[in-house]
Amino acid sequence: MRTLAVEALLALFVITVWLGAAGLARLALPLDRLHCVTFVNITSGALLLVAAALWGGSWDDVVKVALLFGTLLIGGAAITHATARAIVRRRTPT
Amino acid sequence: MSPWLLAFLLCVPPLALAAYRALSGRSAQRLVATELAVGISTLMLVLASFAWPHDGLVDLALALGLVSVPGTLVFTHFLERWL
Repeated sequence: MRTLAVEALLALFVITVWLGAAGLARLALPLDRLHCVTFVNITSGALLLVAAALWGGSWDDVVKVALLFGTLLIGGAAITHATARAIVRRRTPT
Repeated sequence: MSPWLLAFLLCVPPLALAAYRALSGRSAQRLVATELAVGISTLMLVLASFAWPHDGLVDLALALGLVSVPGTLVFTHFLERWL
């Protein structure tokens, strides 16, 4: 049962990564493409964290994946904000 | 085949697409594609650490996740000011 749940979570993980890549390929503007980056970071990171916790391996690894997910949450927000700001300021120089 | 290894292999085409987009196009679009490639590769390192149990792989993923934040911020600063 637990293995089945991990497999389902990993399947969802792969689907979200493919969706993010497809969005990157289909969307035209860089500001629109930023949504794909955030979507992949948050959704895939959360799915991977739950899958790692359910897998039953070492708790050290699960803690490290949780730390990585926190980094993706906080750092990803900062990166997205800085990137969008840089793109907008390049488009309209002051 | 381990589900972690299968997920790792299935993530290679999206990573290749993001890497291709990071190598072509305008600078802002390349930066966004680079961010996606770094995100996917960080998560793929976690998948690899569960597919091939080895001590250092999760640490490598954590290090890449931590280093990519200031690196990307520096790159956005350059993009905004000088590039």
